[in-house]
Amino acid sequence: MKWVATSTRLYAALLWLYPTRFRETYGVELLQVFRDCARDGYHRGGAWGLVQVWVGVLPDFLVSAAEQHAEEDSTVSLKILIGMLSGAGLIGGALWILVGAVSFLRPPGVPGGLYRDVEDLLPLFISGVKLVSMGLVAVFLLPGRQWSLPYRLLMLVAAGGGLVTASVWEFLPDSADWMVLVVGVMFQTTCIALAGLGLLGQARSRVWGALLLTLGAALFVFNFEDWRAIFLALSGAAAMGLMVLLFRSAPGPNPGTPALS
Amino acid sequence: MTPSDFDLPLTPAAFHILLALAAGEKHGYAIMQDVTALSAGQVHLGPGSLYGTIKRLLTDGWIAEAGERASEGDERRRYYRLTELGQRIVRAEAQRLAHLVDQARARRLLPRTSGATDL
Repeated sequence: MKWVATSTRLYAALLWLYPTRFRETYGVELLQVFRDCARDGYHRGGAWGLVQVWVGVLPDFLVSAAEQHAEEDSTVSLKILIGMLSGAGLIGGALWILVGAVSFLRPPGVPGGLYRDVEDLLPLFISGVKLVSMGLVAVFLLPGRQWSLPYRLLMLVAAGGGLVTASVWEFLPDSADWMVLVVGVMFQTTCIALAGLGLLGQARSRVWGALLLTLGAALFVFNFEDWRAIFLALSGAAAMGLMVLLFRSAPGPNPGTPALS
Repeated sequence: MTPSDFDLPLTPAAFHILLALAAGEKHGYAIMQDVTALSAGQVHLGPGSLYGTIKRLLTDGWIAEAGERASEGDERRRYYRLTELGQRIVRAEAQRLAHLVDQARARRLLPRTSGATDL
């Protein structure tokens, strides 16, 4: 029985390779079950029986340890990522609404009415496109996982397109002109609007569809000269709405629980 | 709720564990032995797969802990039991499999037996 005790100690050492939460919850039971298997194997075939137990247990240990790490680590990192994106989105959306309201209320020509001028509004708009794109990345990561491939692709293209457009304009001002921004944003707008329209027709994703359509409309409105301030308010509100929904759908303790009638 | 509302088909590990617990409360090693016996030695769960699946079934509310008590050798063990939801799910899966067996019989892949698949 010395070999059984040695094998159990070895398996106990291997348990440290499981994620902490899994090991703390099931470590004792895993060890009990392994010891039972080892005893049975030893009674059946002596040392050779014990070898057969290890041949079965080792691949099972490797696969299950990898599965538990993938499950727990991805849930934790998604939670952190969604928390950061949601926090940034809520603060950014609130600031947008404030700036939009202030600039819309101030008459043109009044000193201090900064944002009625295109050149002054532009940096804010570019920051907005980046914020929207970050929000779309978060949407792609969470609720987007449940959507079919075309919607996930539209989200990804819209997010990537927005980030590239804003970066090109910001970091390569000499080679980029106004058209780069307009074409990039219109492309992003089209993707968001298409995804919104499609999701609007699906019973479980109507709220997401409505919010994405609002976001697309806000980006579109920016291209009409007299409505730029409204863009800030509309897109800010939509960004906040997206983030609130993301908070609600962040991974929880029972993500796989089926709905009961 | 109809059987099609559940997340069927179940994985072999989940189905065998639910089936083992359908006979009554069991601790981990008893479940493992029952699974091997039920499948005539074709399905053998290692400790990691067993508790990985138990964790998922607990999370989904298909099984529940039934407390700890001493078993052979005076060692305390945690027992598990099937919940009402788990019972409905394992029944739905069994019916799905029975239907498939009926289809196999209709296609003469299996010999006909009298009333063996009514669940």
